[in-house]
Amino acid sequence: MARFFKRTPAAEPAGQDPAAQDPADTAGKTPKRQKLHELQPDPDRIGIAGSVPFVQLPVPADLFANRALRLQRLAPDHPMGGYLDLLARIATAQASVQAARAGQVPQPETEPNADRALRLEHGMPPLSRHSLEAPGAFLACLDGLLAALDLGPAPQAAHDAAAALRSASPEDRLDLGVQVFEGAFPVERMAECVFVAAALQLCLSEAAARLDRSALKPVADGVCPACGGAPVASLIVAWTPADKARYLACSLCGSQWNHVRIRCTACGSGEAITYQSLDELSKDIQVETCGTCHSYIKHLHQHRDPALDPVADDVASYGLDLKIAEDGFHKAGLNPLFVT
Amino acid sequence: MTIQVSRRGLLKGGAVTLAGGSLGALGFGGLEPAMAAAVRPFKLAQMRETRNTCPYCSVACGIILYSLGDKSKNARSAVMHVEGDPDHPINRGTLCPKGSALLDFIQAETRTKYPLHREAGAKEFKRVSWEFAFERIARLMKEDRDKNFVAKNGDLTVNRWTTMGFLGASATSNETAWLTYKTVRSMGALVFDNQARV
Repeated sequence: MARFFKRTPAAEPAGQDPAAQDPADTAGKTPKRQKLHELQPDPDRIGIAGSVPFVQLPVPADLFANRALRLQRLAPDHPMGGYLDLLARIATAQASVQAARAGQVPQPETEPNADRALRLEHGMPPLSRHSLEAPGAFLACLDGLLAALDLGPAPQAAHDAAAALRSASPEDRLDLGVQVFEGAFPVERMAECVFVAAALQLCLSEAAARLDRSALKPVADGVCPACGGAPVASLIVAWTPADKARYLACSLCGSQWNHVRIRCTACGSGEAITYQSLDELSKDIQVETCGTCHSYIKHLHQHRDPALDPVADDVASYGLDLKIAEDGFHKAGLNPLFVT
Repeated sequence: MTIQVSRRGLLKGGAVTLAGGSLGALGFGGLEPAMAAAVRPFKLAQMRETRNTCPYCSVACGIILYSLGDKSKNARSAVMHVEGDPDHPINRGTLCPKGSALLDFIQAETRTKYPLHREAGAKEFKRVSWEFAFERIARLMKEDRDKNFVAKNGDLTVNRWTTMGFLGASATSNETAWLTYKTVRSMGALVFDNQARV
């Protein structure tokens, strides 16, 4: 047995990991087993860091495409299938616009960096309504989205809303965009707001992805440190440096920021937090309820089911909202694609 | 009419229900009753997560106790899972094998829940009152201290009592550790570990 533990100097250069080769290569052949002497100590990969990263900036190239896939998988045989299908179509359009915009020559930042630095210095999120008003930002995203959108079998009301938005003047569209950004939804234009919010997500995720994440600081409980948006859901993540830490997913820019677990996302109290779920449907989707301010937020266990998407699964688990509302709790999250 | 739903509205936890919302506005008004009907047969399962400190050693790792049931509804709550606290700066969600097995520690049938006393020569432990336990511990300590207290080492005053030892717990707060130190040291005891050394 002593020989078993003896190490000979590694023949291969460090960094080449035989276990990491494509599984397709080894299929059918005897899988190559890693020899003990090939193992290199790598304490950095144990995954423990002094602190977890405060913000995870969005990756727009994956964000919308993955969300579209998730929505397409959720829609069939779901009581809300029609709406999930509509959101899947919106997410598909978002993904295609994002891909087209990413292919273009990157546009120079029209907003002076000094403005963002000033906002950061005073504890405010760097992205503001000025990021939307820049030429080629929000309005270009909305135009692209409306052009790429295929509503398919959606009800007439959805087609009408998209048509109304197509014929609206640029000033009117920008005005609506700023209102949705600031969380003020005009009730008589709720349908148009969904498409506007989708364009906002495109525009803001693009801007947020370019931010310097080390410069971002906590703004307030339940406020996105990148764009000031409200969280859509809380996620228990499984990333290597932050295993099982809780992150809040921004409803607008898609950034995720760390928020201590077992602490209300709206009022910051940790006194009377409970977790409730419909176990028959899913144990991975809970609501975190706060007995102090009587609010709740969706709590998704992404470490158990990595496919969970904050926006898509918030809509798909609407039954949980209906159940928890019966107990007198208000929603502390905001899903601009599904305002209830 | 506009309705503010984010930021200040959210902080108050009083998001106003918008008439119809996105579902109704986009022509999906029929889906909400369908969703409500789909979940009607199900009951919400309640769970609590509680922060605590591992009682084993002086590293004092943060742990989260997962329990079923809700105190407010008179349901009997029971711890069903123990995990490291990912927000705790010391262990960042990790636990040693002993800490990982804390659930068995909590639910052990042999867990000490009240003072037990085995008289010299007796075979069995007997349940006794706290009053009896305190009385007996104090008496034994007093007898031992009276017999073995060392006040002088030659000409030097030392006031030491080395025949009694005291062990504190790792999950105590700073204040408890301070109080333990003051109480034990004031009796002259030197054999003392209140697990506050890291």
